[in-house]
Amino acid sequence: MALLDVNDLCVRFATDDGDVHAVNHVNVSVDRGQVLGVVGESGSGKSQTWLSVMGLLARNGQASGSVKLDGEEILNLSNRQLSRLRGARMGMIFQDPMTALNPFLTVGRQMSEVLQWHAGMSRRAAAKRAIEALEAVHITGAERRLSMYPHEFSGGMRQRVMIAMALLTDPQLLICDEPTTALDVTVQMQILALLDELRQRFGTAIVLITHDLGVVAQIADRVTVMYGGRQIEQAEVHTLFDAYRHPYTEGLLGSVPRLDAPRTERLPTIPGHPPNLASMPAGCPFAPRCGYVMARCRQAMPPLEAVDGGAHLRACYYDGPLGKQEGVT
Amino acid sequence: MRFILRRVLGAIPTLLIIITLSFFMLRAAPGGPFTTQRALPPQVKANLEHMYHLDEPLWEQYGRYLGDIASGDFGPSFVYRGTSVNDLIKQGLPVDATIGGLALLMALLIGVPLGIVAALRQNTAWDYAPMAGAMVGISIPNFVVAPLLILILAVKLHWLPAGGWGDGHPWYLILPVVSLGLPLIAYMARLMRGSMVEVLNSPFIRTARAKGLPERTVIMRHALRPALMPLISFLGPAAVTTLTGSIVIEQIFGLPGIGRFFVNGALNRDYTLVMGVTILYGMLIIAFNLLADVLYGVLDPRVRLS
Repeated sequence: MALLDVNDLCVRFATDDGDVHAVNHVNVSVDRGQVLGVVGESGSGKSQTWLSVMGLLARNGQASGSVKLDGEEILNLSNRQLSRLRGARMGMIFQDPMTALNPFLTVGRQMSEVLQWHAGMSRRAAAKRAIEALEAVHITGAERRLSMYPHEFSGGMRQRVMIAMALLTDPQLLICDEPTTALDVTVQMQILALLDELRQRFGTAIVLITHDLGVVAQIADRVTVMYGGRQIEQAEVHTLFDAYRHPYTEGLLGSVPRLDAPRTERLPTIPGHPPNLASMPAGCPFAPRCGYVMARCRQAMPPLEAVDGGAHLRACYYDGPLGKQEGVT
Repeated sequence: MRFILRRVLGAIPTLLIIITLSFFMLRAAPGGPFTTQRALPPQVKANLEHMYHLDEPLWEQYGRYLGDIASGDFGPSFVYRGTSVNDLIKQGLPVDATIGGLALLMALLIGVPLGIVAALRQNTAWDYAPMAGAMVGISIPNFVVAPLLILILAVKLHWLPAGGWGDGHPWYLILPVVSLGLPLIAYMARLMRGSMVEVLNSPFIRTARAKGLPERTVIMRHALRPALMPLISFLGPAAVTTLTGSIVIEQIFGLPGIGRFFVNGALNRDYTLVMGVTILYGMLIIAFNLLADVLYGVLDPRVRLS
């Protein structure tokens, strides 16, 4: 049994302009010690999917479907039930470490409160454990840093603190929402290496939400690609990079800058704009931008189905060869 | 500590400018303390002016005045004969400070919790009702509220005295305090709601929730302190205007506060009295702004270090 099992998860937001279907029928599972990459543009629903798993949707958001952690249904639990689960068995870290920590409280206080609440530890015992956690994420002088405030740390350090804080209770699942996006490239690499190390040491399952395929290639085992609030392709990481079967994935991979490309060539991009979730086109959300679009694509959303009878899933009607989609600049 | 000392020293030039400007502007205004409807005999007027040193050159008077206030003496009042400005302030300020302090306290105790509840129960009756009330409270000036309260509670129902100071008896304080405090409650509730809503939407509150902390802890430990910061900036200047009293409230309730001295002083060119009250206001504004800054530093570690 997978550690986390997401079935037919939908998220919609009630807004003044009507319901926005941000996430539609997502099915995905994560195993222990595995890294699942979740890739998509802004507004693809990748963050909302996982915020709803954590029960952290905005007030006007409503999730339906099923999310099972270790076989136990956790979607739409009460706040009281969630507060025993969040920060204990599953943790989440966010994109911008500059604002994700409370500027008014010391790092030590923000860390030890997690253990005081979840593990009933004394302040002293919690502080001791916090020092260990900071050392585990390679922060030197941990003891001294407990009494420091977030603004006294650099961006990369703060993200390490966030990770250490999320790991205090040895969670089974760690959801990372764009954990490296706000950081310098060299710091990005360090954070990814750290996540990889933690996964190996503690067997933590990691969900890595990102728009950066380079990040996914580094540490993900499996990747699910989202577009317009839907999953459109899902595969083992190597399969996805070598034998992608969806035109959108092709476009995504095509728009990654390459060092070996001729200097004169402009970076290919996917033409058009991401869809507006408030007024989704009928059929495939990618159809308006797709180079292989057929008439039926505009009528009904293709189902997410296995390609080659295996773990490689995609939602597309097109069966011909890919690779001829023109990048337009 | 060094910060406070620096600010106190920095206040001296500010005060000096206030004193100088108001001193010369007051003297530049037409008329004088002894210009009355019925002209005084020239000899009497000359004697009076000589007694108050008004016959000296202006810069000499200015120097004398600076020397006096440096020793804490605001001089004799020109209009309230035989009384010093110090005495008038000593008489009036406690009245205003009592009324204003209680009004501030009431506003803090009622307005702040109302704002917090409204923010936590956003877009429910708990939000709409106090906020609608607050809008009304802000819009209706207290020269309307106060007579209404007097009419209902004093004149019709005879529950409370209609005015007077009653030597500070609590019974006499209720109506002026409520009249002065109502708009403050309203303002603080709205301010508090706004900042609380903003803080609750900030990323670090999402982090606190992701850590599984119970909602009570999220609010009390993580949201409250940041949400109080705008209130503190507001309170600095607001406390001064409230504590030094409202001329309107003093007039309506017939309270022996400073406000009437200020107005009468200005109308009668009572130079020393107007100067005294002006300097007092200036010092209070500087002191309370300093207090607000110090509080800011105590509450926000980012300010503390820089």
